[in-house]
Amino acid sequence: MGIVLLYSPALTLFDRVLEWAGIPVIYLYLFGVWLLIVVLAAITVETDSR
Amino acid sequence: MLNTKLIVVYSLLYLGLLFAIAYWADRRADQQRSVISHPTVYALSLAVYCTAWTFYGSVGRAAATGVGFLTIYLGPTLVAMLWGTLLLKMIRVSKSQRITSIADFIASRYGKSQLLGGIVTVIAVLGVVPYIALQLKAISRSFTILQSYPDVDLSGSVGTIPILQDTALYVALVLAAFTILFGARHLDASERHEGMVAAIAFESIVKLLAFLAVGIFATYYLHDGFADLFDKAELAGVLNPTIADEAGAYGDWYSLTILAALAVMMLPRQFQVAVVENSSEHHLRRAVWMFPLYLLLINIFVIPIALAGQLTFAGTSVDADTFVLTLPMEHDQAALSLFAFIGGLSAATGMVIVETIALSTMVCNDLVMPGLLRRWKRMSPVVDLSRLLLNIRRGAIVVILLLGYLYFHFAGEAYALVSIGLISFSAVAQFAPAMLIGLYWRGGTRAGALAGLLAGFAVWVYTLLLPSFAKSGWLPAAFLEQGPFGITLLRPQELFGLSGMNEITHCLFWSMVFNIGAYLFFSLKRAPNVDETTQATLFVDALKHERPLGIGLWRGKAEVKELFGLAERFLGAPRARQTFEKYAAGREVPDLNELPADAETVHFAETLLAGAIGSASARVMVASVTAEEPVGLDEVLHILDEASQIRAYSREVEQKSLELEAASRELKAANEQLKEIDRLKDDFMSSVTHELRTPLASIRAFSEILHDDPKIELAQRRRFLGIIVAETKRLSRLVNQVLDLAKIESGHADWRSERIDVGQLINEAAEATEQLFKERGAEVLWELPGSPCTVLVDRDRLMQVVLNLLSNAVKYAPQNSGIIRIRLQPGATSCRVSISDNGPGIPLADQSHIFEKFRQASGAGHKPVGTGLGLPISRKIIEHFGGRIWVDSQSENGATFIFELPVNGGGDQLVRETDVEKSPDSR
Repeated sequence: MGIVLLYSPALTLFDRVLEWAGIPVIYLYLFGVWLLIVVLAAITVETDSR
Repeated sequence: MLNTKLIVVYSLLYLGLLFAIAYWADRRADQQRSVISHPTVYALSLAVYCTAWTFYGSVGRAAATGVGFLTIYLGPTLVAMLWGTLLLKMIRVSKSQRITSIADFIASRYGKSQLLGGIVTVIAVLGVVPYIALQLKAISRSFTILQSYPDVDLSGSVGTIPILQDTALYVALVLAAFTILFGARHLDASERHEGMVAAIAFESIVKLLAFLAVGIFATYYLHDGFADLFDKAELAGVLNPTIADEAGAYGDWYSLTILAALAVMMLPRQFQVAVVENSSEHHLRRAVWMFPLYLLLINIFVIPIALAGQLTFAGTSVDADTFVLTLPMEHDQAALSLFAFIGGLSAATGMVIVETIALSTMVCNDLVMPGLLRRWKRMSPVVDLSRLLLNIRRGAIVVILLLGYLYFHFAGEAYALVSIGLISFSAVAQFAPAMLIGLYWRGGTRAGALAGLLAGFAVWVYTLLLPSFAKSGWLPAAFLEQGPFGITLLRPQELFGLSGMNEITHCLFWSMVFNIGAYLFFSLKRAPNVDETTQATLFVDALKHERPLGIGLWRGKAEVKELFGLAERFLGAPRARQTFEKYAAGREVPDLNELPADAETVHFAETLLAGAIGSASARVMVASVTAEEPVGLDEVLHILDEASQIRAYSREVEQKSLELEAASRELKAANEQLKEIDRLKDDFMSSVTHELRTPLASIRAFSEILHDDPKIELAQRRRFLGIIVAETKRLSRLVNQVLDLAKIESGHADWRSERIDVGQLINEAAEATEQLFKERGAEVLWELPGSPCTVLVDRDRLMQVVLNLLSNAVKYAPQNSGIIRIRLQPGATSCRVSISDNGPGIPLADQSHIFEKFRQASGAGHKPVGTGLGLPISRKIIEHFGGRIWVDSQSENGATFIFELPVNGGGDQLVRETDVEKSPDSR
C-alpha cells in the first residue's frame, strides 16, 4: 500500500503548488501517508501477538 | 560565554556519560539483568541509521531539493514492513551459525568462502570510510563553528590547516579510544556488545530531542508556526513545494528510495545492531513500527529549519548544511546551540562507534585471520591468540578512523554531506543481490556471488568514486567530460550514453545491472557444490526448522582434546573451559575428555570459533586439527533429502498419534456408557424382583392362612381369595409390562404404522375407561376440536399410552370430586394431547423422575399405586413416533400430562399416500 501511495501516479496528484491551511499539500500528503503506514504496521504487529 | 574549553569539556562530559551508560549496561548484562533486552531499546538502537548526515545534511538537502531528502527515510520505512520475515530470517541464520558481520554472512552463505568474506570486507571498508569521514567532518566543522559563537563564521577551511592543528584528527583519535573502550575491551564469543547498544539507544534519544528542540525553536519561536513560515518562505521565493521541479526528479525519487531501502539492511552498522546485537526475535515486532516512527519524528522539522535558515541567512554564504547549528547561534541562543552541537555529536559518534566496531570485526575475521592462518601453516602460531585477536581489532579500529580522517582531510571539502553519504550507500548496496537473492534462492554459487560483487563494485568505482576524485582535482577533469582516452561512450557518469540521470541513480542502475547479471549468469553456469548446497539449505530454509540441521553433514576423525585446544587458543582458557563444560553438561557427559568426537562436537567447536574469528576461518581452523573425509554432493543431497523425509515421517507419526488419541477417547466414552447401562440393568433387576416380591408375599400369606385354617368364615375366605386374585392380576400385569418394556428397549417390538385420528382414538379410550370414572365418581371435561388431527402411529400402542394416562388421572383424582380434563390441540406441525387431574399433583423434585422405571410420585402420604412402568413405556412409545411427553404440575393443583406427536408422522408424501391406501385394511 505504501508503495502505491508513494511511488505511483498517486503522488503526482498531490505534487503541485497548492496549499491547505497554509501548508503545501505535498508535505501534508507525504507525512500523512507515512504516519498511516506506521500506525497500520503498529496495529498489525501488536494485535496479532499470539 | 561559549569558549573552546567549555565546548571541549561538555563534549568530553557527554562522551563520559555515554561510557558510563555502556559500563552500567555491561555490568547489568554480567548479572543477567540485561537492560537492552527490551524491544524499545532495540528499536532505538536501530536509529543509529540517523547519523550526522541526517542531523545536518537533511536540512542542506531540503534547502536544495525540497522534499527529495525524504526518500532516504521512506525507503527504510517501506523495507521495515518486510522485517517480520526478512530480518527474522537473517537473525535466525546468524544466531544458528554465530555470524558476526555482513562479510561473515555472505561468506557463510556461499560455502564459508574466505575469499568472498575478504572481498565483502574490502568493499565495506572502501565504501564506508567516506561515510566515517563525513561524521568526522560534521563534528569538527560544528565544533569550529560553535567556537566562534556568537559570530557565525564559516571562513575556516579544513584543507588549509596543518594536520597536527586539525581538530578532526583529535576527534578521530578520541573516537578511536572510545570505540575501543566500547567494542574491543574484551573478546566475546558472540560478538555482542550490550553496553554499546545501551549507549546507542541513549544517543538516539539525545539526537532526536536536540533536533526537535531546534525545529520547534525555528518554527514557533522565530516564526508563527508552520503556516506562517511557509507563507514567508513563499514570499521570499525559497519554497520548493514539489518534487517534479527538476528534470528526472521522479527517477531520483524512486532510485533513492530503493538505495536507502537496501542500505538500511546492508550497512555494516545496521547489520551489527539489527542482527548481531539482537537479543530476542520478539523485539522485531516493536521495531517494525517504532523505527519508521522515529524516522518520521526526526524529519518533521527538517523543512521548517531549512526554510527558516534560508530566510535568516538570505544573501549570506552560510551553508545550509549548518543551519541546525547556526540558526540558534544567529539568534543568540547559547544553550540551544550547545544542545544542537551535542545532538550532532551524538549522531556522529553513534554511527562511528558502531560502524567501526562492525568493520573491525570484519577486517579481523575476514581479512587478517585468513592471512595469519596461512602463515601458521608454515610456522607454529603464537600461544595466546585471544590477546592477538583483540589487538588486531583495536588496530583495525584505529586504522579505519585514521583512514576516515585522511579521506576527510584530502577530499572532504569537495562534496556536500549528502553526496558522501549516498556514495557509501551505493557501495554497500552491492551486497544486496548476493545477500537477499541468496536468502531465497538455492541456486546461487560462490562464483556467482563473487562475480556479482566484483562487477557491481567495479561499476561503483568507475561511476562514483573516480568521478569524485576527478572533482577533487586528483584526476584530470577531462576524464569526466570526454571519458577515458577520449572515448565518450565510456564517460563515467553517462555510461554507454545513458544521460539525464543524477549520478547516484546512474550508478545504482548500472551497478545493479552488472551485479545481478553477473550473479545470475555465473550461478547458473555451474550447479552448486557440496558446501554451497549445504549452506544454501541452511539459509533458505532457516524459518522452517526449529533446530538447525547440517550437523550430520560432517564426517571424519577428530580429537576432542585438539578441538578444545583450538578454542582455548582463540577464546582464552577460562572461557573455552566454561563453554565446553556447558556443552558437555548439555550432552550429559560428566567429563570434558569423555566427550565423543562426533559430528555434533565438531559442529559445536566450529560455531564457537566462528563467533570469534568468522565462519570461514573457523572452518579452516577446525579442518586443520581434524581429518575430514570429503562428502560427495550426492550424499549431501541424500542427507538433506533424508532430513526432509524424516520431517514428513514425523508429521505422519504425529497425525497417527492424534488419531489414536481420538479413538481412545471414543473408546473411553463408550466404556463409560456401557458401565452406566450395566448399572441401570442391575437397578432394573433389583427393582423388578422387589416389585414381584410384594404381591407374591401377600398371595403367599393369604394362601397360607386359607391352607392352615379350614374353619375360616366364608365371607372372610372370599375376601382373602379376592385379594389373591387381584394380586395375581397385578403380578401378571407387571410381568407383561416388564416384557413389553424389554421388547421396546431391545428394539424387538412390532411397530405398525397407520393413519389415525387422535380425537377418535381418545373417544374410544374414554369409552373403555368410562366404568373407572364412574366408580371413582370423577367428572370428565372434554375439549376436542371439530377438525380431525391425523398422525401416523401404531394405533394399539397409542391407545396404550392414552389409557395409561387416563387411568393414572383417575387413580390420583380425589374420590367423588375428581375432575379429569381431556384436551386435544391440533397444530400445524404437531398434535398435542393433554390430560389433567385435580389430584395432589407431583412435586417439582419428582417431575424429572416419574418417567424412569419404578419411580412413582411420592405424593404426601399417598401410597404408590400401579407398577411404576406405565409412564416409562408411554415415553418410549411417544418417542418412537417422533413425539415427546412431559408433565406440568404445580403442586396442589393436580398434574397435567401432555404429549405431542408430529402430524403425519414426519413421513414424506409417498409414504403417506401408500399408508392412506393401506389404512382401511389395518383398521
